[in-house]
Amino acid sequence: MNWKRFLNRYSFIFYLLPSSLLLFFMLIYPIFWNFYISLHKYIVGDNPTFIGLTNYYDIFLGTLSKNFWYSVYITIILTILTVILQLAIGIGTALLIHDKTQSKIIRSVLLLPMIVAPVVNGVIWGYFIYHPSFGVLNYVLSLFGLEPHLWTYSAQEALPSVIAILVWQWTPFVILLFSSGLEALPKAPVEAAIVDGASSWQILFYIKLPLLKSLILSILVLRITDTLRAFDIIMATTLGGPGRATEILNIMAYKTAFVHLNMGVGCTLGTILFFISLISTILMLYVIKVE
Amino acid sequence: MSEPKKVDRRKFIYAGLGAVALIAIGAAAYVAMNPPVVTQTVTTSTTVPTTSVVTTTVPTTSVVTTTVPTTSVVTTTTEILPPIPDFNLAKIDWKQCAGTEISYISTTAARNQYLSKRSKDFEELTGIKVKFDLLAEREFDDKTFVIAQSGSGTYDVITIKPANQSTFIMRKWVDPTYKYLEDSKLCDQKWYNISDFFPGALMYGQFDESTNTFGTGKQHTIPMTGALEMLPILYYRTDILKELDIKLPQTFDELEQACKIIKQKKPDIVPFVTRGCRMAGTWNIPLAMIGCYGGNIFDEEWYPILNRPEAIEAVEKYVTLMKDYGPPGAATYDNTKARQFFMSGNAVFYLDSSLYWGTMTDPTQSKVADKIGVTEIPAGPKGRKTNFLTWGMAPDPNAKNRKAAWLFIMWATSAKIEYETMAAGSGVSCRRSTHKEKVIQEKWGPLIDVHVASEKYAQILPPVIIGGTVQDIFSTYTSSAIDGQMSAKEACLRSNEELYKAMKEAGYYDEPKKYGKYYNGGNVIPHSSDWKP
Repeated sequence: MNWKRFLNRYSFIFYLLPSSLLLFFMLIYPIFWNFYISLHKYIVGDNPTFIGLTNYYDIFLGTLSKNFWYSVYITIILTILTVILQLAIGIGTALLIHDKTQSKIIRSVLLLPMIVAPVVNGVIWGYFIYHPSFGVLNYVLSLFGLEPHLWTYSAQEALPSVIAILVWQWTPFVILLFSSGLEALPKAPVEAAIVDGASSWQILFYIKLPLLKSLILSILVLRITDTLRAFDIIMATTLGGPGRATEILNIMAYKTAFVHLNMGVGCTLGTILFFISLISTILMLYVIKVE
Repeated sequence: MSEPKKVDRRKFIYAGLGAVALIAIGAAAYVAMNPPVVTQTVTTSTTVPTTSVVTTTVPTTSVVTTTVPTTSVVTTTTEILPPIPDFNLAKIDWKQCAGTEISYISTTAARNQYLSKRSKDFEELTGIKVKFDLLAEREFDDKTFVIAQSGSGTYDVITIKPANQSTFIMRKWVDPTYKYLEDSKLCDQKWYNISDFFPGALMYGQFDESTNTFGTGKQHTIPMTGALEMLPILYYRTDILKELDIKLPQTFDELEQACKIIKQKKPDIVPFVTRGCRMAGTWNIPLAMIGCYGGNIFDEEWYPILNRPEAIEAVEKYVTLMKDYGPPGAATYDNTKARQFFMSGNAVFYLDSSLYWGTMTDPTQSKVADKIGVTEIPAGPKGRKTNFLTWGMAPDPNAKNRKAAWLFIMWATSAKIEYETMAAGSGVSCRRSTHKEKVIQEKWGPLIDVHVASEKYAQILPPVIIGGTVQDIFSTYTSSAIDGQMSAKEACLRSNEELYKAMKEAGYYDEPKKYGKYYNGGNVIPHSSDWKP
């Protein structure tokens, strides 16, 4: 038996095993367990009873459909608006200041919103910025003679206000990634275009952006999957309210599982959210591959 | 060699007398330093027609020996303990679990911080070490449910929120405390004196297993140290009422009228504030108001009755007070936001828990500490109702050191620790004896009178097994009504419809009956044959 040869050939298994086990128990196993529970009627404390796809029926078409589709609508609006704003502001700012983003000070400032804990972010925005009576924002508006607003404190303005927090927190991430992309661009095509007399806009739209398309798509995927999972900021600012004004799917799943203690429906919502994220990621990756 | 000294008889007698005198002085000094706790001997005489000799043992620890000679006079001797007895008066072995270590899970509330500080005294008394795990409330909620469900027995002593007690008891996630209360080795019933607790506090932990009814039956949990709340009571600004010459409102109509005057005469201050957001115990406010208007959330058979006129009228009043006289964005105000708003001097009336009196009258925390008055909840057309809230404590049924856990619970909820917790300003005691103490009355001022008055008409929260769901549904709609997304009536009707579905799903209308009748110690309304969701 040539142990040395065997070990040489299969030693990679031992190297991979710890992280694979961790990945399996922390990621793969919960996904399957979540799906398994979603096929049961399971109120915490009772024994789970197998009911097949009844939970899915109740959510899509039955008793819970009204609340579910409302949450889907809120999730989609939140995701689309947040990601569009983050990309537009992020790319725009990166184009304007990308040569300055190499400065350590600028980089540190850009990283600040991301390193503040989301709950702290929520409290700062909820109490000090958005508060209708003591908030900075209404004070600034009053300096210009404008009417005060209720921001996260009213159903009409809560969603845009939450979007503003998410944009503020994650746009620097887009700026940093896009700036790195701009730095890495080959200089020859740009120089050739300048020699040919192309304007700055033409260079941007016909050279820089096409060359950075895959990077933009990667950022898009990252931001969409991240925003779909937005949870902490909403919990810290509005708790999904007022009423259900900011109840995205994640919040609905959390409340169903941990407040209503209905694990069966909670897991069903989790599974649905998982598939939405999975499908959107696959689609994006496919587009990137095609590009 | 020297001869041994001879001691003559006189010296020997003197020495003996001296020693006796020294012992007597020592004993007197000991008694003076450790005064015996006041005990009283009561002698009663009764006339018994029989002529035989009778010896009876009374369930309380005292033994009553009744000697009946040929005459008909009986002499009974009973020892009466002081209202707040010391630990050494308990006729149990406090050291029976010495050497063990137990763990305790709860929130970071002041009462728990105080218990944590005092745990060294418990360790000294019992030899049991206590490890405290005090968490933020949301984290605590999630963790306790996960641990209870898993049956891991991670913590020996668990603490349970008022609205969750029925769930924990019904699911058998607590080791019933009556077992320990009835065990003479583990509890000196006379010393512990469970009847000293407010009946409403005890009701949260009572459960009749034969009929699955809560609020009655055996004691499954013990009211937690310093965790008594009357929710809501009315706080008000004495200076503003005086300035505007407004009488203290006694009814909700008068309260609305007062708010109207304040809004007109003093537009820079918000007339009224309370909780208005989704969850965060918001349901306590409309629930108490519905009681004042003669309604309830469920009838006796657990059918939701928020669609009745009295419930709609009460919710309309609550929504009007918050929408027309509350702060901007009232639909998002939880207890913290509302309290901070009032303590910053921005509101005149504040309807919330009695638990906050200490914080609000603390000048280091409140801008208006010396300008706050407190009174009972205003009355509705059918009088007053308020919610009696208290947390529960019990050993975890899967824990290893359940006896030691019980000893800790008994120590922490003893009259002495309850008294000391309240005297330190760390919580409001669930025991009547504490409220009668002069020190407490001086420290807590008018709140004591409000508590005593409120206790007479207080009701416990619905002991429903899906408390979280009921709370979420009701507060979601009331919050939407305050925000102007729907009317108060619509909020009631939609809540009723959803509550019915949730209760049905939870098996409340199953045949044969899965749960007993709804009992809350207050106004339970009989089920009507023409009930509709």
